[in-house]
Formats: sequence, structure tokens, C-alpha cells
Amino acid sequence: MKPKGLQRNDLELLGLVALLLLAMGGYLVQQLGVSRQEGAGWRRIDTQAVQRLIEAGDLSDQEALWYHPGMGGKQPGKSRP
Amino acid sequence: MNAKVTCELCPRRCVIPEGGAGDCRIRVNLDGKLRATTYGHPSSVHIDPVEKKPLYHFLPSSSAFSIATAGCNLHCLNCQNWELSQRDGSEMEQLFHAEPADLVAAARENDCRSIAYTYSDPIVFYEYTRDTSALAQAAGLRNLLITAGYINRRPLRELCRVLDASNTDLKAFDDGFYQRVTTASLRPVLDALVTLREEGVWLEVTNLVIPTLNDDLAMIRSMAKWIRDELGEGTPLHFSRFYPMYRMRNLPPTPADTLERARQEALAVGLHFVYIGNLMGHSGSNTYCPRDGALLIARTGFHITENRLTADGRCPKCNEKIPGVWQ
Repeated sequence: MKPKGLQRNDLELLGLVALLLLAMGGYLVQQLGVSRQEGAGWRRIDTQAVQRLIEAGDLSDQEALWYHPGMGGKQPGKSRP
Repeated sequence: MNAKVTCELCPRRCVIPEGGAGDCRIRVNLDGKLRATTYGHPSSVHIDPVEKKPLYHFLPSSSAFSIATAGCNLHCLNCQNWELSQRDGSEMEQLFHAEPADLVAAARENDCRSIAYTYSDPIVFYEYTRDTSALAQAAGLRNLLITAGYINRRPLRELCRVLDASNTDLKAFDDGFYQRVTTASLRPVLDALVTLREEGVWLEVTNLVIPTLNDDLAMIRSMAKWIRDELGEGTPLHFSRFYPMYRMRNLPPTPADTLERARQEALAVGLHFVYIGNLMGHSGSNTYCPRDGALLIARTGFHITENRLTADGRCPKCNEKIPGVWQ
């Protein structure tokens, strides 16, 4: 018996399955990205929105305590206060 | 030039590039300076009974003027205040404007005996908490820090100067749980609890018991022993009932008998005041004398239905001194 080739319906079904897999994969990657970002040390936020709210008086530009310029471990004497 | 800054407030020690925020979302690097963007801009303001914090040994039946801003340095999958804690200031629907002096005046006008820094985590709005607390202290109000305790020792010691009481979460006695469920770690929280005790801040501890994740009795026993040895047998411990929330809706509420077993375990280890919370009408929310077992304070929900303590906080039957701040 000769093996039958793929019919049009089969191809459509395969395409649909591939699309579904792609969508599920995309969702998982996005969720993993969220998990990685949490606790990763810093975050991107909408800084322009924050600045607009500061200018409007709805948020504050009060300087924070307990930070120092640059990166790396503790730099005694530079932490505030 | 991209001027990075390093935040030394909490154990994350975020290195934040210009235009970025710390992991807490609200400490933002603008032009090379770190800004406390929610200073003076709370998003939640309420008057609560102090029992809601929960603080059971601190000015019973008094009202606490309670405030919070956006942001948090933990990201608990079961957060009950995630709409507040997991957002930055620009994402909030409500942004009030209240300078520290305004909060103190409002607390006094509303007959509150304390100001509670609560709901999200006051560690991330540290400067606002500190400045308000200093003014409140001068005005004769008490300051309550309701926190997960994820803060470095030096800033906490500094803050303790103006604090009167804290309810600090000890979410599990397991670093793996902290990493998986909260994205934080256990050791700094234990250090914070010890620091609060050393600095003379009245301290109560809350453990939210989540089915299958942190309800192991052996772990609860270890935690209770640590509290007994490091914080003292008179430290109140609250076992609180979990309800499905936020990203943890796949687990059921904590069964009452799990909380009862946890309480028995902690009492057996030698803690004197072990409570069950978030379970309406349970006798485990009452205070009993550790010497003669007499009922001292009866509670239903956040309300006290009976208080038999003497004015100076003693058992009326055996005169045992009950630790706490009673007046």
C-alpha cells in the first residue's frame, strides 16, 4: 500500500497546533521574565510618569537616606545619614 | 553619564542606574540621586484597632492611625495588599498629600494613641516613617512598625530610636520558603527581630500558616524554640490563617486544626503567649495567664470583649506580671 500524503485538513490542524504551542511558549517566557525581574536588584519603571507626578506635586523628590553613589559593596562613611 | 547609586537600606542592596528604581519600585535614581518618591504621599490611610496589626499586648482597644504608601521590597505570592505593595507611585489611583505634621495632627484629631506604618512595608518608605515618627513621639503618640523585617541593621537601629512597637512577620523558619514565596531570605529577618528586641521596641511576631508550604510541625517547633531563645518566652507569637490571594489561589484556607496544632507546639516549647488570628471567635485569640491559666483578655475579631488585667498589666488572681505596654 502506498502511504498517503498529508491532506489539507491535516496541515491546517498542524498549523493550529503549532500556533497554540507558540502562544503557550511566549506566555511561559513572559512569566519567567517577570519572575527573573523580581528581586533582581533594580527595576525599570515609567520614570517620565514619575517625574510628571513630582512636578505636579503628587509625588516627591525628597532625597532618600542610606545610599551611596556608585556600585559594589558597603562604602563606610558614604551611607546616609 | 549614567550615575548609578547603591541603596543600602535593605539586604537587596540594589545598584540602580539613572532613571531606574530599586526592587521596591519607589526609591528612584533621578539625576544620580536616590529619591524617596512616595514621601508625603500615602495611598492608604485608615483608623484601625491596634488589635488588627496584630498587637495584643500594646495599648489594648486603642486606635492606630494607619498609613502606607506604594511599594514593597518583598514580592510575596500570597500578598494581601498587592494592589498597593506591587506598584510604584505613578501606578496608584490614590495619592494623598500629607506631610509628617499633617499625619500627626490627623492622628490626634481622631483620638488615636499611635501611628502605624503598615499595609505595604514601611521599610521602603523609611524616610517618611522616620520623620513622622519623630514628630509623633514629640507629640506623645506611639509609633508602630508593621513589617516583614527585611532591612539592614544600621538603618533599623536608627529607626528604633523613634519606634515603640513592632509586629514583624516571620514568614517561615526556612530560607527556601523565603526565596520561593517572597523573593527575600530568612537571615536578615532574624537579625531584624533580634535588633528590635535589643533596642527595646515592644515586639510581637506573626507567622502566616500556609497549607503544605510552611505548616510542618517540626519547622514550627524550631521557629518557636528560636523565638524563645533569642527573643524571650514572653514574646507574643500569632499564627495567622491564610486565605487564597494574589498569585496563590491554588491553596485552600488554613484548616483550624492546623493552627491549633501549631499553637500547641509553640506553647509546649515554652512560649507563653501564642495566638490564633484570622479565625473569628476562636479561643486561641484570648490572652491567658501563663502561671494560673486564668482568662485575662477575651477577643472576638479585632474587638476586646473582656479585659481583666489590672491597670499595671497583672493577672488579678496571681499577680503575675504580663509583658506588654498596657498604658
